[in-house]
Amino acid sequence: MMKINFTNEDWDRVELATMAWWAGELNRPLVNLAVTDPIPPEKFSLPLHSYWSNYPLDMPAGDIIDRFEPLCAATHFYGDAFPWHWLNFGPGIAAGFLGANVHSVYEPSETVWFSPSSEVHLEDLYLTYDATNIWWLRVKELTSALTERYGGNLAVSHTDLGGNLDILASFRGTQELLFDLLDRPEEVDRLTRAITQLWLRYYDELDTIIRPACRGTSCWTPVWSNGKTYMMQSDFAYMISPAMFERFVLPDLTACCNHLDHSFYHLDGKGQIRHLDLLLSIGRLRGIQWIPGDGQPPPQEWLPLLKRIRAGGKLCQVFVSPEGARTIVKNLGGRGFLFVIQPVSASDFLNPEEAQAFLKTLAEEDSSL
Amino acid sequence: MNEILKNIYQAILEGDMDAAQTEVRAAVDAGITGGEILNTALIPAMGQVGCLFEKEEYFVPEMLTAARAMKAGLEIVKPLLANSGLEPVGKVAIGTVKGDLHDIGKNLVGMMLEGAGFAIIDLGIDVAPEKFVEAIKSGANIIGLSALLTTTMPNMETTIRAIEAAGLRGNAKIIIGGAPVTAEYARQIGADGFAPDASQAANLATSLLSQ
Repeated sequence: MMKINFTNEDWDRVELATMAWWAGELNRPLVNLAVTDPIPPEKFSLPLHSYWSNYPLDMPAGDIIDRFEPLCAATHFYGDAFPWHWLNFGPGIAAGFLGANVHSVYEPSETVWFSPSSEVHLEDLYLTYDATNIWWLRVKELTSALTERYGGNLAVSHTDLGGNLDILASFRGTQELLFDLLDRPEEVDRLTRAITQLWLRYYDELDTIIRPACRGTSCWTPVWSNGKTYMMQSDFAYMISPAMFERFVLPDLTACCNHLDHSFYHLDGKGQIRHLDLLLSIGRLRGIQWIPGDGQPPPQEWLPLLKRIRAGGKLCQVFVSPEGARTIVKNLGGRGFLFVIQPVSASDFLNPEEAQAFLKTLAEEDSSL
Repeated sequence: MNEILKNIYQAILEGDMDAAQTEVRAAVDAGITGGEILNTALIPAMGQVGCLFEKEEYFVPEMLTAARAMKAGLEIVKPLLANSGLEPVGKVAIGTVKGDLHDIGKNLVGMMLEGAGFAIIDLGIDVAPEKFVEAIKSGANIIGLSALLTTTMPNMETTIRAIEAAGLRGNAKIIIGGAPVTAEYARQIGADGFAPDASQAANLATSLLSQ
């Protein structure tokens, strides 16, 4: 196994801070600052895909993991960052587990999407667990291989399972499901309830692979807990009213929150802000990740929204530039935030001193300290 | 407004496709002309749907079902319009640009434009610039370009350049839209207009043709 620039003592430190943060007892933000050194192209003799579904299904798991090792070895972790592997099979691979077609391509650019495998009337659509599904077996195989290789040295993510309506849309088509919400809402209720139960089953089966071997859990975005954590989502919610969100999405989120120790919600785009009050009403939802969306101003330009999230009693994760994090701590205080720092350019934070200097500045400017 | 036309208007607002068809048939049987059904009930109803969408009283599902009801009514009226020689207010070729597979926003815009009296050529998703060029050659006088991703937005500009290169820029107005798209971006790439949502796209197309 290659060297990871993160010791057991580093893990102890990050665990202590992160669990205090979950408990609301950390008087500063969590700052995830991971910096990867430039890697000479010759280190990657074979293509490195973002989506693991782009590797042939019969490629040995170890060969895939080997390809990522130069990346892991070249990454340095500052602040509360931790080594983390996101097993990325696209947004909502649970649809693939349940029999939807998985389209995974890397040319002209990498993407994964899901589509109905057959035309079925909504009333005849039943989604059931299939232990022999090729995508489910592949995700379990790769999750196991990662845990065996890295054990407690690296957080192995639960793959991106998807949101309940997003999964259902993979079987109906987005437009058809939009019609279904008004035409046959009872059938949508039936199917979303079934998806929630299946989602929990997939989560728990992956959990039984990950947690005994690794330190805590993570998911498709860098958030970690020593219990069960996950970043829940509903991209479909962008298109629907709060009344529909309350009927079709909220029960699913509530059930998942009740099952998890530390749950988050991925609030993606301004069209989802209308659901914020309902999200804040979920007592066991611990935090909200704000993603402004393509073409929108960065998170630090949404201070009233961030304030609303914090005032609603939720933690808040944002992907920000160093300057963005400084703006937020100056205006709102850093407490309760998780900043995933996105260096503005590849030349930012190339040495530890610069990274540490930034963390020091952030602490000095934090109005909550 | 005539009671039957009121019923058509209401059926569309409620997204009731069966009622829309029934009432349009009743209107035809009562001797109301296709033009009057279109201009007094169908187009105003979709206009109102657009207003409700902008006010966040309607959302995408409500808008889609209203458009479906309007389309069902329009299918009955279309032969009457053809017989009476009433032309569409314009011909719009619409598509999601090359590399982009998203279609809901594009479909909504198409439906709202149809509801505003335009003829629609839906070129689909992942549409190459040449297809838009061909559409102009076939008589489209408005081109609607959709993109949901910052990575595919540049293909809006590529499409406009292809239309210019074909010497057809003066033959059609070009409007663009999609989540990451802005009015500033529209100006930058030389589009004629930008609409932030489907309802405003219909208003924009109408105003561009009246210039």
